[in-house]
Amino acid sequence: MGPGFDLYTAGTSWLHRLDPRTKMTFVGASFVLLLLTGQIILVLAYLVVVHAVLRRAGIPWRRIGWLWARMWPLTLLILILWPLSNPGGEPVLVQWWWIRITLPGIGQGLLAGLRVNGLAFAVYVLLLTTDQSGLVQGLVGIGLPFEWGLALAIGLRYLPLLLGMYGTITDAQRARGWTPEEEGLVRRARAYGPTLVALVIGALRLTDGLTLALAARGFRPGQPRTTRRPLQLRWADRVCLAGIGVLTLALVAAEWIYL
Amino acid sequence: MAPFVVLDDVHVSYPSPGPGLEAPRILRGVSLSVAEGECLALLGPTGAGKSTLCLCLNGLIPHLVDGTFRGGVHIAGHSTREWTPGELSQTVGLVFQDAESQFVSMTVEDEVAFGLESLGLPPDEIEGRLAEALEVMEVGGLRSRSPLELSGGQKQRVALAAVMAMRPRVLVLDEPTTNLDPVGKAALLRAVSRLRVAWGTTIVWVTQDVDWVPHLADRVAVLWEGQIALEGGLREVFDQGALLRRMGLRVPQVRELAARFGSTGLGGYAWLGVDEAAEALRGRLGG
Ligand SMILES: Nc1ncnc2c1ncn2[C@@H]1O[C@H](COP(=O)(O)OP(=O)(O)OP(=O)(O)O)[C@@H](O)[C@H]1O
Ligand SMILES: [Mg+2]
Repeated sequence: MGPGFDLYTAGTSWLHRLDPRTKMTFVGASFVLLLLTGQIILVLAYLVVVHAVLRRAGIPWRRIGWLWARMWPLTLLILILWPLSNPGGEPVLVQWWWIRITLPGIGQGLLAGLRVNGLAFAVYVLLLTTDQSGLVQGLVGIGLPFEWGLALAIGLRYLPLLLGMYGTITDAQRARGWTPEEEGLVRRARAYGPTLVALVIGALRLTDGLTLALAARGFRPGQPRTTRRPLQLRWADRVCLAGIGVLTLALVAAEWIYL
Repeated sequence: MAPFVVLDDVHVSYPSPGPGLEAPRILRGVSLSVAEGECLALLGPTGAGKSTLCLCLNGLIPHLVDGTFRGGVHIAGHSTREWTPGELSQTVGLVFQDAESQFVSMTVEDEVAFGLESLGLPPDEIEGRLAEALEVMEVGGLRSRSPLELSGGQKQRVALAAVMAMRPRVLVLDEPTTNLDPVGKAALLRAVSRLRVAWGTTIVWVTQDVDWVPHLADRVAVLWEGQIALEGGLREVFDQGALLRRMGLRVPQVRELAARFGSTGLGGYAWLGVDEAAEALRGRLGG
């Protein structure tokens, strides 16, 4: 299993030490902001800040680069398809047969493409710096039943693989002499088929086996468990939470008032 | 001693693989009992249903595995039907044949702690038992590694550490030595035998390694065609060399050697271990 199966990058930085619940709040706030805003510059700024934060937490560029490598095929797809399917507005840049590309369309595509990366990196901040035990406890802490938390924690590890699936398939096909640029979307979609099926079956088998494994290890649904390293909201968490809260409110208010 | 693990006419079939196809009947009337503190070696050819029997012992059959189950399995006097597998696992610890399929955590230490957290133990006791289990199984150096990235033998030892830490009264080991080299096998069996001494653990040990059976087992049972075909003390069972061979099994090599001497001057022996054989031969040959 290559890197990315477990996104967690061991470390002892301040970000690693933050309570998973704080980081989950950050993810939630990021989603609100990113989905609400229509400002490309704001999404760009968000990505820059997130990268600074990850670097401060000692996440190597190689790791970040690996994540981007999983992201760019999807990003490219959005950048191409979005303007094509949103031909409204002025000025029109290209008008040829049924194809019509406008500047607002390109802007929208750019926004959507960046936004997808913003959303993914919001989640990566959590996944890169929180080990499984913390992740599960955090999810249980926000009200999920333990088994769901565990299943989700395991499932989230596949996120970059899922997002990167497009790239992987294309690469594999290209290696076999397939030039996607020359072939139809139908064939491309068909290429996804087997991988998707494999993923779904894999996921089902995972939950099936997981039930047995959990039961064999004393897991009883609904029964309270203890934990080796209990979660703890430290003052750093409180500061972060307050910061996230204030920033989110300010930005939401700004969107509301000015746009 | 009173039987602690009792299987009474157990029948297990898995679901039919398809419409019109017969459901595979794996166990067809298995009756077996293991006394408290005893170690029973369970032999049987591939596909005999040994792993299936293990799943019956910790209640995954009939509670969580699809199929039909008839008969009764009693642990410490309680039917496995009365307990949920989660409850049962505190008394019966199963180390899966495929160690990987029992892993639920991303680090070795979390893996071993998982069962202890299920038991609701306080954090400092968890730490203590964790350190102990890692040390006994000699995997302390792997603490923060992912169990999925370990070698086959390391996986097996982590899996055993994880179950052992819960201190079950019955330990079910499904071919725990398969991926180990001879040194690893010896170490693992030593660890298990220390457990027996320390806590009087009852052990059901599924194995193909007949040569190692005498190191740990008090008794042997052979599962064949869905039933216990042979059961008894080591000598009793390994005396049936021809029968065992017909079932696709063999006897320990020193026992085989003793048998080959047959009615020669060295005949009449039934060694089970190398030490025993060496002793006898020294007596005869060394003069
Ligand atoms: N979940 C299942 N569904 C259907 N059939 C199964 C299932 N598990 C096992 N079997 C079948 O039941 C039979 C007995 O399997 P089992 O794993 O119990 O044998 P075993 O004695 O442990 O073999 P081995 O020595 O290879 O581990 C096999 O033919 C197997 O294919
Ligand atoms: Mg088996």
